[in-house]
Amino acid sequence: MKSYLQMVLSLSLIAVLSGLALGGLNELTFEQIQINILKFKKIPAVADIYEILTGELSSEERMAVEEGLLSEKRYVDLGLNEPSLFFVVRKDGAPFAVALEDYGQGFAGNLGVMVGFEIETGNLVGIGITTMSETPGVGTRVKEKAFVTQFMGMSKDAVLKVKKDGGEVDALSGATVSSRAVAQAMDNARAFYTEHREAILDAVNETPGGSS
Amino acid sequence: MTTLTREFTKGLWDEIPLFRIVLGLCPALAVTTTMENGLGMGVAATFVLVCSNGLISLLRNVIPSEVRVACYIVIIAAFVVAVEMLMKAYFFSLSESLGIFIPLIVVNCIILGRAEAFARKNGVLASLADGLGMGLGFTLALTVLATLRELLGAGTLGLVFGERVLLAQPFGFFQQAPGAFVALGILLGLMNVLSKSGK
Repeated sequence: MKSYLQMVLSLSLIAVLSGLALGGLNELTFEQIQINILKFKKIPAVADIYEILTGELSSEERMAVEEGLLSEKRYVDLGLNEPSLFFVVRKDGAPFAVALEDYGQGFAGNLGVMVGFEIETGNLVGIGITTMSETPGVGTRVKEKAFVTQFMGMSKDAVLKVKKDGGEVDALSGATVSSRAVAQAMDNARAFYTEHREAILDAVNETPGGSS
Repeated sequence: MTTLTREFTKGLWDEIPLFRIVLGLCPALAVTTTMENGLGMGVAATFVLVCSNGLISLLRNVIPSEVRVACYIVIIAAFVVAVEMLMKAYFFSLSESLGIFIPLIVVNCIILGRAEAFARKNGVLASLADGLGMGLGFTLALTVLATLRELLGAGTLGLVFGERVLLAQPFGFFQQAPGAFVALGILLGLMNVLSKSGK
């Protein structure tokens, strides 16, 4: 009997202590990880959209753009779980488009897409891929220019589905699931933008970087 | 040679995990496409190996042998998650390119193997030395394999030189999975030739 107790106790104790230690470490690293995701995932995707407006940038110019975009992030509280994050994309200094991220169900987990909407018309400016864990060399091709450029200047009424499903998106051959995920993410982003357009546009001119 | 140095050095040549015991093949074949990835994976695995070996050896008299494997897995998993978080916080691009293979260190046979074969029967210092030696041996093996594959497959050595160093057209084959097996085979053969001629 005693040995059973010892077995249960020691395993439980080890599990609880490991959990506590990891919880503490999570507290310590959480903020830095969020900053990294912002810097290396979200901002480059917004910069992709920015690049559509300006034409191709050299790597120095692109670094400057990414630096500048840090102060273009806005939070808008829509009464959801947490304030929603979006970015302002400027053209000649004036706000031209807003970019927000949404997700679609990819082949392996969520696929995140940053979608840019022209403020005046609501049409799409373009997209940038933020996160994905698709099959390397197959699904990851959705990041390539050949696929992404088709979304430049797409109408706000476009049917965001792959052609096989009756929509307007050219799927990559061999990567239908990933293409579908991109279309789905864009559709979600558009629905979100349409629903909260006014609140988002109100927040565009607020002081930059208002914290969460 | 004292036993402690002996425990340390055996992992570097005589029992080098990847080439002698041929353990830990999954990360070895999957992430060794560039030198940076190979080195990063090796360092991450070494950290987990040293920490888990030390802790398991420390707890070897407390953990009942009936549930030892479960306890080892919990301990190893905790260290792996810690590495994952630290890497995401401080080496973000490396953690992106290693991706799923960081969490998969949990099931790296070398780590559970050393816990079962060594740490549970030996003292803390010896276990730390064993873990460090095995870890460095693994890192060395991964780095050599990754360097060979990057050099032949992509013609670059990103960590040392920015530009292409191989003048001939690179064989893209070495960057793919079958190329990993071929490269590993070449190294294993080389290793055997070297140790035979040494006798």
